[in-house]
Amino acid sequence: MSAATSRFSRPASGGPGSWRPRRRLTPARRWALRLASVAVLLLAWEIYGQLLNPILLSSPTAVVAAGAGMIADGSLPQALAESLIVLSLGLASGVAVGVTIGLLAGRSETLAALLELPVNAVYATPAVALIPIIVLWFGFEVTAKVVVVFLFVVFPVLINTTRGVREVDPELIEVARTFCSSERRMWKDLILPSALPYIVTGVRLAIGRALIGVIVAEYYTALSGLGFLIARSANSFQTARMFVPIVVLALLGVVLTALLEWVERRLVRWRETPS
Amino acid sequence: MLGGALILDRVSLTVFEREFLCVIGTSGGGKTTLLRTIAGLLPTASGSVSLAGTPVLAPTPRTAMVFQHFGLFPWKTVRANVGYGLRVQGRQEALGRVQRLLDAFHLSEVAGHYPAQLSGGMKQRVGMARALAVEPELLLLDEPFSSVDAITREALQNEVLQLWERTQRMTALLVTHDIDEAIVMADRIVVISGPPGHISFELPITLPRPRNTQEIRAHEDYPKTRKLLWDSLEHHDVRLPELT
Repeated sequence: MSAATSRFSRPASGGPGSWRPRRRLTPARRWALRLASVAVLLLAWEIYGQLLNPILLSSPTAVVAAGAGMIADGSLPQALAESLIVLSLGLASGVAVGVTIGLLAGRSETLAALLELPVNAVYATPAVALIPIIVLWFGFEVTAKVVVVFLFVVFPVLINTTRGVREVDPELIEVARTFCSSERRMWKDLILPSALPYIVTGVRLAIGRALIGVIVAEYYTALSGLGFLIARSANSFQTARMFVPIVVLALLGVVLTALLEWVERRLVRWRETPS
Repeated sequence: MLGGALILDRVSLTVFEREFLCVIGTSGGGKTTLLRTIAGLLPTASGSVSLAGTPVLAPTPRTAMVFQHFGLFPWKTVRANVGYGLRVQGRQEALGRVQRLLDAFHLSEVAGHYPAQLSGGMKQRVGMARALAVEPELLLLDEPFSSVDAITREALQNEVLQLWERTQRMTALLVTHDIDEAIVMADRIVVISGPPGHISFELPITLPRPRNTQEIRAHEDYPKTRKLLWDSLEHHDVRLPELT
């Protein structure tokens, strides 16, 4: 299921007699470990980067300096704005369509059977391979890029949502039936709440894929946004400047995932066990 | 009523008004199928189910069911679970009942909790309160106490007895594989044997009410009653004179 439940899973045993209950970390300790891992990585990068030619690796301090410059000259905000438009439109449309079709397919065997092969076929096809045809149909600009992101996003959301609807506890459906629930009430009381964790898992996957989709779209259609910044800086061997949009992408992923987790926690309060 | 030939065969059963009827039988004997058919959840291959003269073809608001594995909505609070039946049936005006039932089942203090925070016994109290909230003409109980520990089970049996004896005395049909539970609760016990399930034995329980589990087990007629039922389960093709 989703990450929220797996966090409570037991550790695998390392051999006979070695089983020990996993100790829960305190929130403060967990944050300290999170920040410590980032600090160690940055420090190692800094030290190793100083030893090499700056074209090969650069270093965190150089990246920060380059980033400040790119904010000052407006190139980073402009590129970020371009990418964010593509990202948000692609992600929103992909999630909306994926959830809608997923819910319907989860409830209708007929629709599920109709969709199964085409969905699996297109899901398995690398979206990059479709870019020439997307360009033919939608041009090189924002529309085509949104379509690329949409294709990256829609399938994991659709597939997870369908599964979520399928996994509704049959006993709860029986409960709803004995109390003479209408189909509409069944969606509200039963189907949506039990599909929600699966939808969230789908969206979590979709966020990562959407970020890939944005950069792929920006590379392979008209160069723009963060993808353009990466490509241009790399072509002119400005490695520190090249890392700035990459770090921004990584931060975007972290922020969006954190946002999703926050929304999920608010929606599935019922899953919390007594303290 | 008649079920599909494979599961239930030539079962004719009448539950009288305000009667507490227990159906017992071994696992796989078709007793749960019988209950689900009466609830309108399963269609009959031939034969029919009727409730106070009206045929039951689909679930009706006049029956309510208590489920073996509680069947609570994990994302609804205790209070929302108890009020669920009234809400889906559009009977919001009767929601005042919910608080009375929460009190009756000692659930008031956990009314804002979610099912995951409750013990098995508490969960089944919620399940019972939810079924009683719609004030059904027929209460169906599908092995309601089999998923809780023995001590809780006995406490729940006594609570249900008290509630049922002191209040409305609604018509109730309880399916169980526990002979002692059946004797304690029932006005009449029907033994289903199978497959295919058929009624192999029927026994009125005339032990005095109000009852509680301890007193009933100490009653002089208890061992005899228990042995009769036990024998009927062991040799389920023996047809006894009580059979209708």
